[in-house]
Amino acid sequence: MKTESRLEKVLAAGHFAVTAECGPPKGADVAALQAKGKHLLGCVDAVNVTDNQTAIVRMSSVAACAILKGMGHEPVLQMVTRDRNRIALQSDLFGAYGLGVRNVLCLTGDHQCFGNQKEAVGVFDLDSIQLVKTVRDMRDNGKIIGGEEIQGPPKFFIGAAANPFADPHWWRVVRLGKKVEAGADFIQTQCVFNLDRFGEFMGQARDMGLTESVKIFAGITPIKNVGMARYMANKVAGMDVPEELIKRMAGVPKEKQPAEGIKIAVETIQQVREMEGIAGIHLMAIEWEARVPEILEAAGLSKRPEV
Amino acid sequence: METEPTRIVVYHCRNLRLFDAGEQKNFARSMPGLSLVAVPCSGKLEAHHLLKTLAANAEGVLVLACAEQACQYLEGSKRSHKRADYARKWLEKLAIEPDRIEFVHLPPMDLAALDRVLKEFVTKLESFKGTLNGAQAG
Amino acid sequence: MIVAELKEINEIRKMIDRYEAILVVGCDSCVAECAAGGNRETMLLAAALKLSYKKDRKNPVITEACLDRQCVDDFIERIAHLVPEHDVILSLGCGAGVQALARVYTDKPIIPALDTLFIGETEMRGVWQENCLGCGQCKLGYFGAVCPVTRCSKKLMNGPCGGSKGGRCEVDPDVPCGWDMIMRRLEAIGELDRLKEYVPPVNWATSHSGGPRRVVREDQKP
Repeated sequence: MKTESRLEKVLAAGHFAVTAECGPPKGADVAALQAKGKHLLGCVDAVNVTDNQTAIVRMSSVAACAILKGMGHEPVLQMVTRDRNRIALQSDLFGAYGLGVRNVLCLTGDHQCFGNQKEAVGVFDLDSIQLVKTVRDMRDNGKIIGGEEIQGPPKFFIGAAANPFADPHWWRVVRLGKKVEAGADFIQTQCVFNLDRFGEFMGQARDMGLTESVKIFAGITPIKNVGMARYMANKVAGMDVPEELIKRMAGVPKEKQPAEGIKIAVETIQQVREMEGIAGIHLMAIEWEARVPEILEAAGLSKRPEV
Repeated sequence: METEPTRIVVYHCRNLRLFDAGEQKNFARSMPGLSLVAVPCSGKLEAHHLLKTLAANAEGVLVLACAEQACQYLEGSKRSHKRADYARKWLEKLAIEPDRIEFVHLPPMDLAALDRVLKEFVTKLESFKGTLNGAQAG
Repeated sequence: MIVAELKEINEIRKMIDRYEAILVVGCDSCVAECAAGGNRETMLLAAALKLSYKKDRKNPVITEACLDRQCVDDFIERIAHLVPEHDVILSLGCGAGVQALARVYTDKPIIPALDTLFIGETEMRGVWQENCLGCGQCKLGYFGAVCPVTRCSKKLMNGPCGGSKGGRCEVDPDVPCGWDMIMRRLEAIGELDRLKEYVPPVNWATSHSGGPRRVVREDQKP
């Protein structure tokens, strides 16, 4: 064991793991965060806490992690390099660890032009891969960037993202390799809708021997309706929503579309589970956390291991 | 009652061969307020020439160019058209009637066409009377 | 070169309306190449201002001049005879030109007529592209001569990110993905292997983050 992470324990014991995303509120509404957290309590192994997702100002992910931790959750701190320089990032890593956070997902983050603070400076002092290496150097060498020793090095279980659907396709697995090389212990992928392309990516990852050294979680997002499917297909950067899927949603009456979306999510979970090298799923039920238990129930994943 | 003549400056491409030797003066005399300026190619005109002309004393500026395919300098006529459009955009920005600058392709040696174009231009400019009668600059 | 754009005429008017004699000064170097502040544009702006004031029935003195370079003292001094009889200098230089004029003509207000944008190249007539941020430690040799700091919207050094689609940037489909360009170049010159190397964090101390920069060369001094 490299860390005290519960998520690491679940994976090390060979269980198929489940994580879910929880977006902090647009304000200081702790009760709203706790309400979301309550839906997920006991049915996932860890909760990813997003960091000002799509560049919209929300409660800080460090603070939200601490609140969820207080409820009994195992938080995964998402950290983007868009808003903080290396001084703030490293300082927040110390602070988060001090508050009991044991997992971190290192991201670059969506560009600030997508959010509600379009005039903000984009920091991007580090990129996601450099952040992975920074967290690893803290844990394994007890050093910050520049090589200075630290008191009480935080020992995080380190995550990174992968998007098998972005261009160019050949590069995606090389980038995955770079992240693993830099120190990623686990990977959470972009939402999987195109299973053919995802299967191809996993094949490449296996060929490079990456699935042996990193735990890959397939990203799953239930679609609420055909409008959302179209929106993600056309407007969200880095998404690949095949036309058949949009047609399938459109072919169902409006009131039955949510159920159909959940059915698709469950089918996707079942299919990715069959793929060699998939260690778990990461559920991103955007503003739909309440339906997570039902999806996991249907996918036969509602019982979480005790570790 | 005598009305002020409309002050117009016409830049015409020499290759249109509108006037025989000495004829330009006679034509200008026939129409008070008219100034005729021959240019080697309409492409020699820049947007600042057109604005400067308006800033000085003219109420309207007319650019007479050859047909694009007929331009002796290949791109001259095309360029002057673009520049006249650009100068018109400037007038819009300055809240001045953009039609005070006009660009016209004229057939060569066609004085009748020139006459027609001028008459229409004068009518148009008369409807703008008084909007650009500030302190005399230049 | 430095690429700039002319400000809106109303913004310029707002800054110069309080003066009665205006010296409009262009710069015939970089900002002439990008058709923002060269000799032509200086004449155009002066004419436009005259016209604009004429419409408002005002008649300030407007004189135009153009320097070969507005950022070098030897050139700046060439308008010295015009400066005393004007209340203000309206500069069509880049930000460096404006400040150089202010350093030389210490008692004159200097007003910028341009917004200075970036260091870039003329990609074709009428198109200028930013491609250098002046970070102070050029790494172009490792990236197929395409700058990740400038051409990637997120300054990624180990990119491209997950938002690259069809060679376009997620920020704007009109913006080409810088990393897509890097990869194509590396492929063309047979150096794709460079992409697998981890690139450590950039040292921003040599960039503007380290404070305003200055180069002093004793061998060049008079």
